Amino acid sequence: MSKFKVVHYINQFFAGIGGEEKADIKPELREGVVGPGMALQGALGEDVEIVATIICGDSYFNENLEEAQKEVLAMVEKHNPDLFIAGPAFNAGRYGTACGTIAKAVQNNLGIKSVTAMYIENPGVDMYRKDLFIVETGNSAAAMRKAVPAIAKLALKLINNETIGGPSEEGYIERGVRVNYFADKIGAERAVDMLVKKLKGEEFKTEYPMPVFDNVEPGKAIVDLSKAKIALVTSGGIVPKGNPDKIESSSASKYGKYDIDGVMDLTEATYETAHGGYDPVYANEDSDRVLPVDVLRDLEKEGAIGELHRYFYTTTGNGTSVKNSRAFADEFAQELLADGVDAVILTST
Amino acid sequence: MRLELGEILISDVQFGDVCKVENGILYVSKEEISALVLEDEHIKSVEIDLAKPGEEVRITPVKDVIQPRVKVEGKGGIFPGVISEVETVGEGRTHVLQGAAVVTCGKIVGFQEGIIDMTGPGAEYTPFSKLNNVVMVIEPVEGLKQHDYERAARMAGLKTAAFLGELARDLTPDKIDVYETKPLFEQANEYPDLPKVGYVYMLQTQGLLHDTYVYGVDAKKIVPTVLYPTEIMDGAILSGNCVSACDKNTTYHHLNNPIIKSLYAQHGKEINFMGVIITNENVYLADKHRSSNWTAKFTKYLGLDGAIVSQEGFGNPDTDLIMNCKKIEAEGVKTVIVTDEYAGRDGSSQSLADADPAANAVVTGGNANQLIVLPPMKKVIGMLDYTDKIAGGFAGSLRPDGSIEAEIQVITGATNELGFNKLTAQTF
Amino acid sequence: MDLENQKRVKDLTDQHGAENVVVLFGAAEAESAGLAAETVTAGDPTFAGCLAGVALGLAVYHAVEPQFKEIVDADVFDEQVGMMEMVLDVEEIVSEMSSIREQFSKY
Repeated sequence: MSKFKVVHYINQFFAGIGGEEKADIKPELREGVVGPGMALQGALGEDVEIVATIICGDSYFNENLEEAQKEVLAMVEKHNPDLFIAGPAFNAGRYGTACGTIAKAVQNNLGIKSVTAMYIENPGVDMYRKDLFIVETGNSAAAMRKAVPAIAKLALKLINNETIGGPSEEGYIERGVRVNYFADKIGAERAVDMLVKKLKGEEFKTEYPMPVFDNVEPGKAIVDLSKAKIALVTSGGIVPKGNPDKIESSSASKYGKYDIDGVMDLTEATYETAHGGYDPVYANEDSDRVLPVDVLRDLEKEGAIGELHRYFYTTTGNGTSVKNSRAFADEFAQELLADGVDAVILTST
Repeated sequence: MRLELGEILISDVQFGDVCKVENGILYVSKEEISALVLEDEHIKSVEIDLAKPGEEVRITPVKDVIQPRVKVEGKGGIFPGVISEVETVGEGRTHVLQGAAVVTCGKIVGFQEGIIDMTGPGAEYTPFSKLNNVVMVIEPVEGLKQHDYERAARMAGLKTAAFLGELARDLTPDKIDVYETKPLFEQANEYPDLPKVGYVYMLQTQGLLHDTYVYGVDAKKIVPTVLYPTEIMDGAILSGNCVSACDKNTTYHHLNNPIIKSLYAQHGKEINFMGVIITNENVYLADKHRSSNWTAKFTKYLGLDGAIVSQEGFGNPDTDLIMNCKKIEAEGVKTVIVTDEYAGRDGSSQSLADADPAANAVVTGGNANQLIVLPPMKKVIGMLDYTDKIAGGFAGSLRPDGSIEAEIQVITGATNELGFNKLTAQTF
Repeated sequence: MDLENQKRVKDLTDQHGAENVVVLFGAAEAESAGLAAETVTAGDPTFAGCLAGVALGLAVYHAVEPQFKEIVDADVFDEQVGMMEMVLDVEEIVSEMSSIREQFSKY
């Protein structure tokens, strides 16, 4: 009996080709397993074979979406696998986005079942959770050991056309899809039971959790920019050269506040980036590319804006949790208000 | 009020020369029923048919389902203000032909009417596949306007149910349940240590095929008010709507309101069931504000600790539901809300049109958009030509072989929001 | 362990023979020490580097472990490692390293 076929998609890092500096490589097709595919093959067992691995640079994929998808889809189609596996991407944002995009394309355009895997905060999750089975992993490659068997387990079920159960059972991230089933009791009894618990202050489980609308109200438009005090804030990790406060390159636990009074331009000698999630070369050569101090000084001189605030706030967006990000901003937003700042230009990467 | 509800168990329904109940079998006379129905000059003709559990029968388009009942003791009669005179009901004794139902059917008034399959996958989704149904396919006179047709069909169903209910008057019930709610202060003092719980009963009130009647009054025109739970068992609230078949409350649902039954089951044990607050779901924003403000005010005024709130319908009434919930919670009264969902065929759309963190205790009747394939049935009572048009159907729903692919939205009672069924939903 | 260092260890092992190579770690936490140790014994658990699927089985130790501490000059150790020894969770590190050795070291 012939084996089931799987095609695996990974990025340049897991292929052992290189890190950020190689993130621009074009899709490459190799026979058999590469990198983590080795572990996956072991977990998938004898009846399944990873026949090919597609390697693509995260930057290339995200900057050439149409082209890249076309190229990769053609490679997948060539092998016509029973299943397509992308990742695991852990918390790597561009990798996760690429995995989600390509897995969905394979599923929808080629009609081939797909599965991917990443950390719950990876942006790829919110983008693709409804469309795909995304196995939940830890937040770094150190979690590979647990991720592989989890992916293999779900993959085998998909390959064998078994019914896929609920998220906690099967290890995938909740897709936000409502599925009907018959309970043991009628709704009216369930309602009375729930109310009795609620009245007693006991724990109960709602059958439909209300969606949370995290709406941010847009600020009021600035009436006269020429009188406005503008501040710069960035999650691009721009810091004074040497990163004096040691802001982490990923999962930042702090933010920095730096004085640019009298600074008209950021140079290679005076500023750098601490952010570990993008190729730092260009930001290190000229940090204005991420934190546009030079342009704002020009606007200040021209009178287009009233004033550039003397402090800028910075942190690393790479892998930094929503919770921390909120906490930082809660704090320094107060300072910005106290300092009479009218508007903030927020840059990220 | 204290009501004894006596059930006469009906195990079968058959045609006979006269209408009678004998040995648990309901005999139905076509002549007697037709004569009764045709008293209304708006009705041109009526076909009477029977549908029993397990038969390969499909009934469509279904308008209402009514249970035959009769008041044996106590003031007034069944369906006060509509069939019987407008006397306050809910006390004494009422007999029920348990296991039987009257189903009204016929050319659709609008596209809100439904399907009942007596066997197959569709039967799992409707409680009416388990009853012995007396089905009336009504044909209106030429050129009859929709409002008049709806009314005629509604009255025909109620009249017939009351007529058949009469057969139970002198019979000995197989089972008697007693339901009692005392006047407010007495009730509060009966179980002083138990939490006081009320039932907020939302009624659909949005126009043709979307109306409900309280003692004969169009509920669009009421302001929220209070009823004893037993009044509803005698037919104080009647259905004039189909909404979407899956979540409309048929008159049968009202008469057998499971939330009322379940609250009574815990009455004196875990809770002190104080009574029912009815409210409506009007289309105007001012009405929505007024009714929800009033309802919340009532929960506080009646000294409630908790309330179960049931919705009828979906879409804009979702806002009424959330308004009621928020405002009642703001009064310090804890709520559980009962609703259903329209999460799209893939289940990934937002289930309700409105949401609020205060609604943290929800019971759901399921996603009405779930697709189902109903196999062809040997016999169709009514007509199939409207299948593609009814809410939940689509072009091509009715396939050439007689099977129907549609959303469960088309099945009468499938996602009922009184918690009548076991169907529910979870997030995957 | 990053790709560069994986390559270095692999090259040195190829050059001198696995039984002649000992890897000494100075990582501040047991978990990171353990991961690195696993990389040069069982193979790269992240499957990102050249030691993915390559089990060198090398002997591995951490600078605060007694096997190292006892064979070096006490004064030099005190000067260079003494401060860190006070701050690190030595017990946890020893436990982690021992576990890796037991499971994966061949030498």
